[in-house]
Amino acid sequence: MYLHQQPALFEGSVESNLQQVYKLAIHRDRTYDRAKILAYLSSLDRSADFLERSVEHLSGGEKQIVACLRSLQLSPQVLLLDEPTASLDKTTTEQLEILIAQWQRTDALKAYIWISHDPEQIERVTDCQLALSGSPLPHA
Amino acid sequence: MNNYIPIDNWQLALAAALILINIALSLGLRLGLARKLGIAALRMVVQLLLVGYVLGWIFALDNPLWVLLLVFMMSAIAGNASVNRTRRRFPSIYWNSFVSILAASGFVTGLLVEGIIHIHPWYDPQYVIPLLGMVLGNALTGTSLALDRLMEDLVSRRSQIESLLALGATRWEAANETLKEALRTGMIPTINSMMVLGLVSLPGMMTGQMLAGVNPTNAVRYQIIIYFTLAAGTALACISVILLAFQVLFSPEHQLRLERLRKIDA
Repeated sequence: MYLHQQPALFEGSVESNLQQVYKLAIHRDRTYDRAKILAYLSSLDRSADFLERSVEHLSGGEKQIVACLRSLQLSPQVLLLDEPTASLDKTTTEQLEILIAQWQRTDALKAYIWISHDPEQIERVTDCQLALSGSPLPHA
Repeated sequence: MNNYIPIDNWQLALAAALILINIALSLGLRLGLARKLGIAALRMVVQLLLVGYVLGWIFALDNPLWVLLLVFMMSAIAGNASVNRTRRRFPSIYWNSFVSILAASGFVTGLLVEGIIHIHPWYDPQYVIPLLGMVLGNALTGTSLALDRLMEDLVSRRSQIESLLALGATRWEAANETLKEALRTGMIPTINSMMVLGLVSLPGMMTGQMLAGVNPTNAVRYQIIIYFTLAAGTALACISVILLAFQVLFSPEHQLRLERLRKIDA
């Protein structure tokens, strides 16, 4: 599952965004788990009110959080993260890193690829790095 | 019953003098339209006179092959005109539009003349050509609006559609809303004109039949069946052109292929 750097949310509340993906045929056998979302939110220091807010009024960082939760709740096998914390402050960034690490540890087969410009973050969140330089030859 | 007055060349010339009113206005008010008006008037006269002769000739030939050839040519022109009003292109857009318009218009016109009006012979150009022409004209407007809306929406809603695809949606699920919106847009002019028909506008065919001496209540009956045919033909043509565009702009691997769209400088 791929998480876009500038996430697109659908019109409506945060919660309706989280619920909407269960309408897709591929996720139809699962159901929306509010308790799981609330647990995620509390580890990001956000209350249940956050779910009622309209996505129009969210900041760029909050939108990234919603998009990230929208993917995480589906417990994907592989997650491609394109600068998922680009618009987040330092605390929230670290909280989100922990959240993703927790998801990954639930199953040995789960993995993610994290794209970032922040060398410290890369050090924190990855085991194996691939640097893409401006030149056509990437080196590992 | 038949009190139809044919128009001779002298009467045509007199009517042409009316264009002088426009030209005088344009010159007087410096609208800069005189040249364009002149060209447009000349084109209108030449095109219509030519069409009159071609149709007269085909009516006289009374041969199904010529009628079918004309059907194809009219559909090709309609397909081309439909695409030319849109702001973006993809590789097979002209072909898609032609096939959709031909199939939908041919189908409903066929149903109308064979199944409802029962004309003899089956290709009688006196019925087939004008009826098909009206269906084509309407399908053209519908498909061009639907195509334009579809392509513009795909571009503007790209990130939403791609987010859905990234979340595991099939191409069908991701595009569903956009496709429906395009179909709705394509049908709006037909529905709107049906709403005010007879109140605001007197349709051309009805007025034409009345000028030719047909009783208004009969002319109205023709107009009613024509409108049902137009609406069905336009809906089918729009659905077809939307689905064909969808096949091109989304890959079977559920990817949005917007790189296949090219913007046209208007």
